[in-house]
Amino acid sequence: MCMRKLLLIICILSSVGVINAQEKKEKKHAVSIGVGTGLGIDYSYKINNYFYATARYSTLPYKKEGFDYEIDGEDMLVDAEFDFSHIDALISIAPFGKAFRFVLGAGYFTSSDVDVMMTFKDEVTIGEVVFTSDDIGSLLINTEWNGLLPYAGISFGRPVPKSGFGFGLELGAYYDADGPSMSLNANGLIENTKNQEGLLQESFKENKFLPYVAFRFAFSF
Amino acid sequence: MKTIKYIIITLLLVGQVGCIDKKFEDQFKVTIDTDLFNQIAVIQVFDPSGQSNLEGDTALSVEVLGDDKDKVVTDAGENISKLKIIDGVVNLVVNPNKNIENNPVEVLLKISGDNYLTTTVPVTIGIDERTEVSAYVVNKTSPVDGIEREEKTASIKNGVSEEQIVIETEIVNQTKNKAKVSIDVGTQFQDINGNLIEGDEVELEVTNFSPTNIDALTSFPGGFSPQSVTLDGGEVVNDVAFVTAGFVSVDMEVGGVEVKNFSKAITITMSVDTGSMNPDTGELVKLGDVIPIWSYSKDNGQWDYHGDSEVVMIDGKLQVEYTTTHLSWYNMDFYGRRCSRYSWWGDSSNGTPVTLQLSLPGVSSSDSRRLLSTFVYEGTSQEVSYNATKTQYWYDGQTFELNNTPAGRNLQLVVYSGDSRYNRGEEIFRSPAFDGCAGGQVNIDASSMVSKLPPAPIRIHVKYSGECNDRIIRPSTHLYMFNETYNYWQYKGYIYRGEITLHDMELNKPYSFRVYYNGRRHEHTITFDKTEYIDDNYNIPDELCNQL
Repeated sequence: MCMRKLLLIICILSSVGVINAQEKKEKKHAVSIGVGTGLGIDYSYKINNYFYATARYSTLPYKKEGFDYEIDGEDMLVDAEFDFSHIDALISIAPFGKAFRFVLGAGYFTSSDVDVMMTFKDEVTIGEVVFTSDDIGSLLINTEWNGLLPYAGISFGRPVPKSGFGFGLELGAYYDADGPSMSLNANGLIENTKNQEGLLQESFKENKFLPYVAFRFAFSF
Repeated sequence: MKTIKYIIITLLLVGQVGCIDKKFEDQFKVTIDTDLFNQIAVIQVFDPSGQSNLEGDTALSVEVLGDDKDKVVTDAGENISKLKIIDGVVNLVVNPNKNIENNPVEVLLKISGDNYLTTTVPVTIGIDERTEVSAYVVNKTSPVDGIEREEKTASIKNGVSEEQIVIETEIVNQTKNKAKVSIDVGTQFQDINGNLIEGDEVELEVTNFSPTNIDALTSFPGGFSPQSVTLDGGEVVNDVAFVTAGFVSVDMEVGGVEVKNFSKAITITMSVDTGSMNPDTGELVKLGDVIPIWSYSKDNGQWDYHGDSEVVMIDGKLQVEYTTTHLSWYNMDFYGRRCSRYSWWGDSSNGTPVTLQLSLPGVSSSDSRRLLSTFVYEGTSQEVSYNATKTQYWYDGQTFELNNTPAGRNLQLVVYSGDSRYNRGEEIFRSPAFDGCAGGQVNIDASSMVSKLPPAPIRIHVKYSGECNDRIIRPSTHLYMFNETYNYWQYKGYIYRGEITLHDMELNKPYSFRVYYNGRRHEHTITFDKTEYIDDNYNIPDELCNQL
């Protein structure tokens, strides 16, 4: 038992010694995980006190079924599924050499679908005949952004922490000059509602920014 | 974890949904098609003496009979007790809640009216099918040629005849046959339960139908492919096909109570039309032939074997004579069975219905003609069933699948120049005889019809839509148009999801249209100025609007 405690103490002291030895050498690399509009990991390289380069992968698979939504006065049940995955190449600029910085770059979206399926919440009764929402049909809206999008944001916290571990917050947005590509499909008795696709596309075309938010936890080495 | 998810979604929605143009929410409209039911039937009843006689909802009433009657509802989904016949039109649908297995549905419509002879119309609504049936009713006040009618009142005492009572149809308008009913002295008139109906007067009606007159044949109550027949021996079958040699309806009332039975047998004599074909011999009916007699109940459309009767010569005419103690309507019918494409219907050993392929050189589908056609027994004008007579598109290569057709009898396809049972026009084609149950394909060379076809019609494609409760509605309904030439509302087809192609139209001419919903008539007028016409102001019935 005493021998084990002794070994543990030796190990801890050895680690502190390694850390102290590393502090003497500037840390240039960091990896981090991020949680926000997706789960992400990134690798950052400190070019100098003002510039950092970052490669990032972020993904947001999400599915929720059966929540209520009202559209055009209709009570609908909505099944929503997001599937965002993107690989980003970013440059961070810290104008004061401190934690605040601007982030610029581009993201390549390997997947950027938002599928929303809506069905009527209530049954329809004609005389004494009851039609279920399945009988009536459903609407399927798909939203997709272009593959390669420019990105800009601001960040608090160094991409490569000085002291091994660090936290940060990043806010930004990807920009799609054409807006997202929207499609509307319908089936059953509401099949012809798909003729509203043009209106949908038109209505969303100004929706050119795709937001990005992440809390980062980084480890430098 | 849930909180994080909602934060994420909120952020995304702020970014995405929050940017939605207000225009979207203001302008987005759900479009609803009203083809809620996938098994529907429309039955149009004609009064050949004048269709205007059937205007409104009081001339005729309709009752639904049959084992499947609980599976059907009105076109508004209401119980069939609310079913109406308006302007001669009945709309029925199958209730999907009651026909979960999506089977074909068979019902019988009993149609009656003060001035009309009660008739029954069998209606079969197939799987995912729109069934269109047309039938004639007999106007008692002005029956068409081929139908002879006689009424009389005779004195009786306390429900018993004191002298022989005879009622006989007269031979007029070149009609070749007649019917006579004789009631002996001392005959008690009884109700359906066999009870004496006390009274001092009996009212008698006899109507005789010619088997060779096409209007009379079309008016035969129940048609020739009945849904239920009791054979000799008591077996009840649903696949009998009748070939008629004559039909007589006999009705009697004492003090307003219908006579159903007699204490003594009455005698019915029916003359046999010399043009009647015996399908068993392939020759005209002759002295000594034996014809089965069938009784028909106007109350439930049931046919029962009554007995065989030999053709005899009376007063120089071929006649059959038989007796009965039960008052019914009687039909002299040779009979056979039917073959069917459906396994649930009939005996597969009767054969398989054929598919017809039409050769009509030079007539492409783009300039097809919409013409009335029917299938008749070889050498006759007798349609094989109500369903056999339809208005269809005719063009080279067109195929027709027979579904349920008489076995062991040769048939002919007949095409008319008109496009409705009510305005049949001239017979412009009669095919060679073929066996409808031989299976496979039968090629029909109809090239002789080409020169007799009416001119290629102008077609107008119409798109209907309307708005109610901020929703766009595309109607699905049967459309009728007023035919000025024949002075009736002609069935023009089914508007499916707001679209229909109308044939035989003219531009810049006003047309009046009718549709029906929930026993009500809705009218609109259109003057078409182009062949692709959009009417986006279609008036959706309020009761439908409020339910969608």
